[in-house]
Amino acid sequence: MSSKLRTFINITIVVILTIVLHYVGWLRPVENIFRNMVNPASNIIYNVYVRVGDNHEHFESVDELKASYENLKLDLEARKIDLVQFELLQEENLELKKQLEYFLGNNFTHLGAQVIGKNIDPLGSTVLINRGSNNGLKIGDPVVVSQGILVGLVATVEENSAIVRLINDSQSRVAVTLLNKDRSIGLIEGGFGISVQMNFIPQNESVTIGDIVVTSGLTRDIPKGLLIGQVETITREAYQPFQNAILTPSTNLDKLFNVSVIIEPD
Amino acid sequence: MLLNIIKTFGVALAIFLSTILHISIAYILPHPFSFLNVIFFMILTFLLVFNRGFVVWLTFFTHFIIELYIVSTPFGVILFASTMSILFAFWLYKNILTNHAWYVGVVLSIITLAFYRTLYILSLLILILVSKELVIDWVSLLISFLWEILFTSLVVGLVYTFLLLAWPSINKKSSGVGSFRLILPKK
Repeated sequence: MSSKLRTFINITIVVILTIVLHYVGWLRPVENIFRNMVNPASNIIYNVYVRVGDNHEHFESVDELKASYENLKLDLEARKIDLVQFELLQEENLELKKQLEYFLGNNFTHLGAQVIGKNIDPLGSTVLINRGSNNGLKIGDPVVVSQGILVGLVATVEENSAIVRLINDSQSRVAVTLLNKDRSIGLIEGGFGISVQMNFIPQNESVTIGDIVVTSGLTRDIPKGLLIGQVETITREAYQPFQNAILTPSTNLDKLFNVSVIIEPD
Repeated sequence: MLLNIIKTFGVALAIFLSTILHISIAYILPHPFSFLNVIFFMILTFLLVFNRGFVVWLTFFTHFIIELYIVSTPFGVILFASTMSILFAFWLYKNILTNHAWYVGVVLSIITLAFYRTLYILSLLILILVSKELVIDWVSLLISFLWEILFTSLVVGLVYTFLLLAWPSINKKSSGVGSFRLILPKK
């Protein structure tokens, strides 16, 4: 046997052995070491991305730059006035937060988490969060932002981190209800860029652009009524039993920062 | 002894840094520049400069870490495809592309990344046949692969050319500088 063939066989065996040991779970301690090294760095980079991102502005001419500067000066004046209003609203907000916490506490157990990374392969749409099985997370837990906007489901859980599959991921599927007069039920699926598609809406039910879509509660562990988005376009074929709708998610899935994981639905 | 410790530490640092850099590029650079594959860029440059089989293990460990953050495909798809493609690149560089001219960097990158993504697609096709769960937008996936090949090859080519100019001893081993010499493997 030539040395080249022997090297090839040896490397193939190591790769296959690594894959097998991963699925058996024997590599978990090593994997955790790597995760503990990469996660903090990922967190720093993701923070930079969220704050800076690709918000670079390009100017074609000096006049354009001057005009932009003038606009910014006007904007600054307006912001100063807003600041006074903001302080008043902040007090109000604190009070409302207390109420909200009370309200949420009576419905389902949830846990705050910080997004510390996002997907690095072209096939998926996922984010990495800083909570894991040690905090009680499990696969399938819904992840929400703001006032109950569903952004995704927990896909994998490690001790101190988890990967959340966003609703626009091609492998994401959630049972939903349209808030139209028929209260149509269907299934949302990702894989359409920043949008999601709602399938299996019966052909005879009325759907209009702008209709709100919420979770139906038919998917296990996902509470009813979590906001998904709004209908953007409708696809209706006369010979098909179902119609489809493309939805715009209610939040920007590309700029998530703080999320809440619903650990135990009501 | 001390040299071995320093070497091991250096290798571990290289693996960690290339992984972090790869993640950073994916996060921070705008589309389509975010498709630059930093790990392949670093490994191919290392191969072109030092011509050492060690790059295969470097690929293995960096992609092992990368795999921990991917849920779209089962664990092993990227690890297998990347390690095999760098093994192929090493063989190619040792036996076929023996010339150390500037364009070899671009040629080697294109072939290696094309091989890597072909193995990846084949794995996806097998997964689809087995599970039928995977929904793939093939057009956007292929476009992203083309961007990846374009940017990575370009950067490898530029960096390798710069290194050849700044450090001419890199191509000392080559007997056919400036030409594209084809050596068929021995039977």
